[in-house]
Amino acid sequence: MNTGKLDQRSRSVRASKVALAAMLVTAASGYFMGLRQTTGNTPRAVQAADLHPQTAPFPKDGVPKIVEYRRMGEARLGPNAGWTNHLSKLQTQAPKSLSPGIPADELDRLRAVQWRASRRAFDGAPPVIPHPVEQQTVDSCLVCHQEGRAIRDRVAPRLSHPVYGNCTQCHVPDRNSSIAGMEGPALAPTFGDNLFVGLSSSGRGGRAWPGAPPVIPHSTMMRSECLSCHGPLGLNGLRTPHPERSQCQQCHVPQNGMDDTPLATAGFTQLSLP
Amino acid sequence: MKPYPPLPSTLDRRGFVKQTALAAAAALAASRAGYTPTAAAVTTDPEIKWDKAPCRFCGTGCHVRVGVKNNRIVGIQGEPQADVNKGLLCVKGYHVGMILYGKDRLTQPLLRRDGQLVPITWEEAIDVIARKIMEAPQQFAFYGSGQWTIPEGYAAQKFMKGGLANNHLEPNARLCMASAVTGYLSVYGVDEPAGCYDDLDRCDVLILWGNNMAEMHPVLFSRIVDRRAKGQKVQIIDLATRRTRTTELADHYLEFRPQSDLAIANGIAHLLIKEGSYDKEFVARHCAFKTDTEEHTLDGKPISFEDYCRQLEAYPPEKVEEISGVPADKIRMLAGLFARRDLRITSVWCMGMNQHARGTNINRQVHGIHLLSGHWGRPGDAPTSLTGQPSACGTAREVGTLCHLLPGGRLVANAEHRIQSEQLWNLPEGRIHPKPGYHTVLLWEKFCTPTAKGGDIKTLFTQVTNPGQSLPNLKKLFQGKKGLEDKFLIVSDVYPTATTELADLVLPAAMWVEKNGIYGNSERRTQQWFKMVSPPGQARDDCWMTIAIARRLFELGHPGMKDKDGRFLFTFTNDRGEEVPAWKWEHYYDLNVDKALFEEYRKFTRLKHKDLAPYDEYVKARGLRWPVVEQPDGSWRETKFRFMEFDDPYVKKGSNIQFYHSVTKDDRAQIWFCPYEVPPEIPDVEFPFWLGTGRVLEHWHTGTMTMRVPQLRNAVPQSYVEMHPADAAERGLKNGDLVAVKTRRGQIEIPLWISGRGHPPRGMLFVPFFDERLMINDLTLDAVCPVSKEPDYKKCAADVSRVSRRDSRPVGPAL
Repeated sequence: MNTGKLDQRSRSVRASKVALAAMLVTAASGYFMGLRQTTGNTPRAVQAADLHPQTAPFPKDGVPKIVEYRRMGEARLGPNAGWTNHLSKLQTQAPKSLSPGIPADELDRLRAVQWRASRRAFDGAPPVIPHPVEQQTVDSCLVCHQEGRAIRDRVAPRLSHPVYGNCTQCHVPDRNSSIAGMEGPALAPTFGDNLFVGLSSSGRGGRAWPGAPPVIPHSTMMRSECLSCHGPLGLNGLRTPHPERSQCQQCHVPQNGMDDTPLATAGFTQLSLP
Repeated sequence: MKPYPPLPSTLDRRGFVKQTALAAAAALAASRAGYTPTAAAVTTDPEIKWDKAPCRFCGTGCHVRVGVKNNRIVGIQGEPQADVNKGLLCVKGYHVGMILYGKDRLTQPLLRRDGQLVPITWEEAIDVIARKIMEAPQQFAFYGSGQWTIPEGYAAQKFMKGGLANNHLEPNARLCMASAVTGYLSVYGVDEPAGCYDDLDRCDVLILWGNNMAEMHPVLFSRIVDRRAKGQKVQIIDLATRRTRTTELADHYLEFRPQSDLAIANGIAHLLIKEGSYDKEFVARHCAFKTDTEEHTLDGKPISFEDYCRQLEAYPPEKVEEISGVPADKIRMLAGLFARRDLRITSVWCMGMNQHARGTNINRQVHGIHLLSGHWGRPGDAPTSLTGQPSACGTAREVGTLCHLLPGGRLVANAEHRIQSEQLWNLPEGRIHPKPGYHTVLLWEKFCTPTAKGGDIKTLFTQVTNPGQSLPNLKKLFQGKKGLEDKFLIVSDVYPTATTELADLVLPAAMWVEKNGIYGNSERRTQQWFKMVSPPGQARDDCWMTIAIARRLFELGHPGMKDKDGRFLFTFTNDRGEEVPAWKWEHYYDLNVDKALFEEYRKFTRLKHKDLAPYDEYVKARGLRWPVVEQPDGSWRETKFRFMEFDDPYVKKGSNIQFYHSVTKDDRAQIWFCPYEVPPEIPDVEFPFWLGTGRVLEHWHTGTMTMRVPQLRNAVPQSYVEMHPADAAERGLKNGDLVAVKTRRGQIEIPLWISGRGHPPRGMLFVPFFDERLMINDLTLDAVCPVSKEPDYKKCAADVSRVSRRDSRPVGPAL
């Protein structure tokens, strides 16, 4: 009986050893496979999900509100606290109509220009990001911004430039979307304001005569994708009245001056010494 | 983005109509008339003038176009004509124009009287400095940076070594690239990379040695990853001590324990030898062997190939795995890549290899692997160091604003070099002191030590740098100045900083395009710009300050301020041959002082074949890579690839590759054996974590400029500590908790950011150093590389614990 017990014990010990070994092997191989999976052939979204366990913005006083257990189900926490669930409606809306509808007026245009200015330091500066972002990877940016999409009243503009691999090189989160919440009262704000006043708008494109297509009033560098701003998802006032025509630069051309078309470099003026 | 944003309250419909009525009517009238003047067809504001300048921040050396209207910067564009960045910038570059307009710019000289900084005139300020120097000329030190323009550094160099016969001249670049310099010197006999950024366009494999390129040199990183978008195949290997944004775009991430890169490099060399896959012909033709010795000298000891192989036997892949934590298979994979001659491999590095207790050695070893495997000498096959400052190469390294150097790669300790410099400067023979001055860490230690205890630096003048935040172990090397009555700190800067906190005299400086300038970037490219806007208030050029101080000393009778003909050191004449008193601010821009100094400096650059073209050539170009050699037709040609016959005109025809500055005088480069050695401080029971420091994309160095740009500051408003989630869980720490990070040297209270920007492995902490309110350099170690004297900011032992909110004290100085 004793022997039987011993046998049983040693068998269970052996079994657990085998199980342990199997676990170790799985863990180790999983680890190294994981290491190898930085390669581009792995679906990125999976990694992104692994990498942001808790990026919750911190409340101003630095103390997270404790939610009662019974309220857990309905409480909104973490990075998506401000997010509303419209999963059933989650689809890119096609523009209502390609026809111009009511033409934009001057006020619409001014509103649009001001709205643009609120997102960038000056006309031509990369706009800041108005929502929290994944700090490490940029794959999630392209999900919405590569083609551009509108979901209800939110618009993710299409890239105004070719796809580059390193979005956060130029675009950084704004105050409400960064780790700004971390700046608790403990830190003295030692840095003064900035008095820089940038160019707010490049103005409008001139026409050679009434009815002539206006020329492009701004640099087309990093703004080669006209539909980003002027397409159906663009702001009213900047939106083209004829979205059905997609060869923009057939009629509208960049100008010598601020721009750098291959032939138009002469406008680059050098300042002389003061 | 909402399609119909609310209208700002400042502008209602009626106001708008009023405002625009006139303009609209005029435009309408013009268009009805059927004619618009041609000029009006270009709606780009004609009052904006655009001019070129290299970016003010890192050593990449991107070119920007600066838009100026009414004497103020209004916009920035990437410069499409620039080879370096081809029109692209990073977020710092796009906002670089805003660094001039922080509200708290320093605008007048301030002298500390009874503890308070009070305004004084420039005349008084210059006089105070000159008299302080006169008191004890040999106890004066000048501390600048890799942000000094070439003429600024050159003026400082001439003033100190040629004028005061004092070699206590150092740049902060000692803290960032000194190990790269000693690496190049001991391998090739001459400083700076042989390759250039063109290698990035051609390589098949890019190895990042402890370099978070996606954040630190983003424009160059994009140059690589954007090749993938064009369908080209480029393999990126990230050798690092923590996961970063770079890792996400890398094919392989090899995580190693701090300092064990020494073992990894040896592991690769070991396999190349053992498997016979090294490039036998290249080695036989172009290489010799050396070993590091216990004394750790720049010259080391020559050894035979057999000795070299024997020493490497201690580094089989399994042993390397044991030391580094990188699996043996991965070491084999790396060696396998180097064994393939059909691939082109570029290695890049920056602070990971330079701020290293054995910085010189790891630099030597990485060059060594490339030489051993023959991955050297073709475009795309290159070991290349990157720099963090815009002119660490151009000024600190080439002008030689280090305590042991004279311009153009000359040495203070070399009699012949001293004579050459004295001749070029028209000085009496024997003026230049033969003994090198104090290196940075020693210099600040001497300044912070009481005079009675041997602290023989009494007056210290800093320009364009913030040592009060960037030096390691600040309590010892900077805060020690407090209470030392006879020590006098002069600080020229643009904003109040951690350094001005302890300054006795603060000088307001002009910055970037508020003055003329010339920078030299990481790829040997010299870049020029003109002054475009006026500096605020009474802010003035750093170069002017140096000349004005020299002139005051001249007036006070300091003999060193005269050349051997009795003329003032900085004598300038205009086109008509008239002397221009450039030491008087109102006459400083009567001629282009930059051009005058550059033309003088240019004569120094031939010795090491780092030939520079005349100033006017740089005005026309978006930078030129030296040696820039005059052609028979009078044009000037830059050199992309040094020591390679197909491009470098100084290589002897038929030799293919010629290391013409070889330390062994036989045109050979040195392959070094350097052992793995344990770091100066390692985690233990009391301090169980590694602590590393560094940067983030949005902020540059000590943040004095970038923290004043709203877009950059808002993105990363303050510093934080990174930690592995499991380590945090073990200590009951949560994201956002205020924690105390502690080392043997100090402690700070700082928020914890888990799974944020970077992902350290277990047992590692990371803190960026840009935040002057959370000074991580109170904690870092002042141990230096024995050869380069560069401190190791990347590893020391630390502990972390929770701070309860109630007990937490306000952090940071009140400025």
